[in-house]
Amino acid sequence: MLPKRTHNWLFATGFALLSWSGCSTDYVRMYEQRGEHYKAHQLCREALTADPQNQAAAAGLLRNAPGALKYWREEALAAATTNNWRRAAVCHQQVLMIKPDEKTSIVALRRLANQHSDQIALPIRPDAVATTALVKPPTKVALAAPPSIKPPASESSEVRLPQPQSPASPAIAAAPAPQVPSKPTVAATPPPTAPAPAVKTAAKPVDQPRPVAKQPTKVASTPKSAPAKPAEGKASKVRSPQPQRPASSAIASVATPQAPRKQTVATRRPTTPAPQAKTLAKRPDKPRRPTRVARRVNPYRQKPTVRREGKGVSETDMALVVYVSRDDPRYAEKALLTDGIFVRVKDTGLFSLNADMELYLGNRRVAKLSNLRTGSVVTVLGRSGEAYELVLMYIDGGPDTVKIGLRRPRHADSNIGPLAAGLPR
Amino acid sequence: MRRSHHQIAFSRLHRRVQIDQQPSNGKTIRTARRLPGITSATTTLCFPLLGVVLTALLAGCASDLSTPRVIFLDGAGWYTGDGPVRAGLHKAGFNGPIERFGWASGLGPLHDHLVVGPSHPRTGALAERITRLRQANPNGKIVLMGLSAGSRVVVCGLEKLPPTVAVDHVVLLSPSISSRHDLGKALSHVKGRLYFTKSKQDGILSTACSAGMEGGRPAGQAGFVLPDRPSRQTKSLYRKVVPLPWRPGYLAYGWDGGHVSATSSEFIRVVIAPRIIDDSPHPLDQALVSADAGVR
Repeated sequence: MLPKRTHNWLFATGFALLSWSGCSTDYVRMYEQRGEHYKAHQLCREALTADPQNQAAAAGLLRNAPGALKYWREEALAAATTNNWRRAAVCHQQVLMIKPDEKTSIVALRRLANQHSDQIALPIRPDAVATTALVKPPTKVALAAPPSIKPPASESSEVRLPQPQSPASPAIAAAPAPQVPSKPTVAATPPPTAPAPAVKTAAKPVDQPRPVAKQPTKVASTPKSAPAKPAEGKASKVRSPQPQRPASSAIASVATPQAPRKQTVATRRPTTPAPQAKTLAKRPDKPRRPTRVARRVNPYRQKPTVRREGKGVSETDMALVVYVSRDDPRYAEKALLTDGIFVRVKDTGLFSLNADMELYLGNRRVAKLSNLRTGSVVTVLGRSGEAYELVLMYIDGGPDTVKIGLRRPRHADSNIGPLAAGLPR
Repeated sequence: MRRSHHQIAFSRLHRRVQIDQQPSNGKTIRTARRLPGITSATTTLCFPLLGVVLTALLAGCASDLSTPRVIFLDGAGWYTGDGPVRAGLHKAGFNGPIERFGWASGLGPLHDHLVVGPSHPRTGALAERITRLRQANPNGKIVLMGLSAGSRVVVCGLEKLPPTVAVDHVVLLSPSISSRHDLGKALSHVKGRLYFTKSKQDGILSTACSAGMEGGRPAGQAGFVLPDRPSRQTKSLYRKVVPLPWRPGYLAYGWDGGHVSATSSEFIRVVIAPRIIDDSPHPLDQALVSADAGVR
């Protein structure tokens, strides 16, 4: 019989060994219990990349593969429904990382590359995307360099086709033409000389989110096609309504009658002063909304900004509402909101009702916020570089409980990852 | 002339068989008996036919030349990995024959690994076989698969092909051919792509030299590299080379990064077969040389 002190030492040593060897496994288990299999799967993949002999990670990978596959399939469908092509491409790519022979994803990626070659180029580098960044779509999916040689303007009929990047690319180019033009290409319908302001509107790139106010014009110029069926589940719930556009054929339509991709004779005769041709010729140079690349900073060196909103905030504006409490055992003291953002309540003031909180990005604290009052809005960047707004909606000074809402800034996409859960105490 | 064994008189076969025997005492015993059921018509039909079939088999005229076809070359030694490959391809829906092309000498893996090279007699035989297949099926799909040292036989066989003959795809599983081998000549005989698996966890390739002692690390561990000062044509040829590096996700399909497990039937079914059945490139594939001729 060992003395009690020896027991303690043995326990301490065992605990230290377990913590040292199985930290990631604990996270995997945690994500599994939450049902976030795709996160667990990604953790296992990272662990196996670092140490291929890690048996626990291998077992976790096999265990979480079906759940992760299901998640990425649903996400791909939801992204395609909202015309978020880059996100859809990334999700399909994740599906292929798990199940390399998934024919739906293979076909969808090829079609996306054909239809949205300005955003997505094949091949997508598999290492370009990590799941931690995939909570939001990465800033740049298509890492493959765009083809440096452009066809001359005289070969106008081939201008919009994807350029060959490899011997594989001719096969892409030879693949069936996109079945439904992703952009309303009315260029071929009216005569070239017809001055058509509506054509200009229709010829705008439609893959960028646009205000709903412009929608009627666009719908009027586009034949109504059946929109893709929205995804069932959480992914489709959190998205705000997007402008209705023809659903992508990359996902669903196989038997849609094939329409040739938009071709124009305008580039064949660059000197023709037809307004329609002018619009289409200027299209690649058209200034676009700054991409996320410009806004991307190191989120770990950010300084979250705080402001007050005078008007009352409503839960309906929020993508997520959580309670965080220091003393109330019903709520977590530290909660994961989304994209690696944790919030923790430190203290509340009872008489001048305010709260002190800390913001974490993963395990790293990025901000200490003091004396926040109800209605304070904290703008913070997630781990992927995307901006989020935390709104302090309610403070209960007794048990040090605060109610926090999460939303996206108005200028950002209204697309918040469906990640929210409080850490158990 | 003394008859020492059975002799059949074909002219009178329907009537009798003459058997001469020479026992130990030196006397010859001649016996004759009637054949019971053989009619003259049957005899005149069957025996010439049998002779023709035997002659055809011996001459090799009856060999199958149908396509699509996969020609699989094993690795060095006595190991045969065509069973899982065959099963995986069939499961994936490949409906053509899968032919095992033997090249091992039977003297053991070390011998085969070290002596394989362009002067190996089976490389010429492989080139002849491909040429005959291509002549019989100008548009049929021919895919070459080589495991380990068999990859050197595949590449050397391709280099010996006539200029007008090409295969559709080449798959090198855990290739032990040198990473510095100039694939230019072989790639000119490949219409589609040359896939090769690559894994740093390959214990055999991490300790062995390259096949045929060509110098450089095995390509299955280090990957192929462009030759020094490549011409534009070489770069364009190397765009056909597509590495398939090991990923953790492949664990679910039986390839744990090891040398032989790349022939796992599930891995073949899920990863290799779609690439050789479908001529379009897989969305995740990235060629060794990108479109702007940069090397990854």
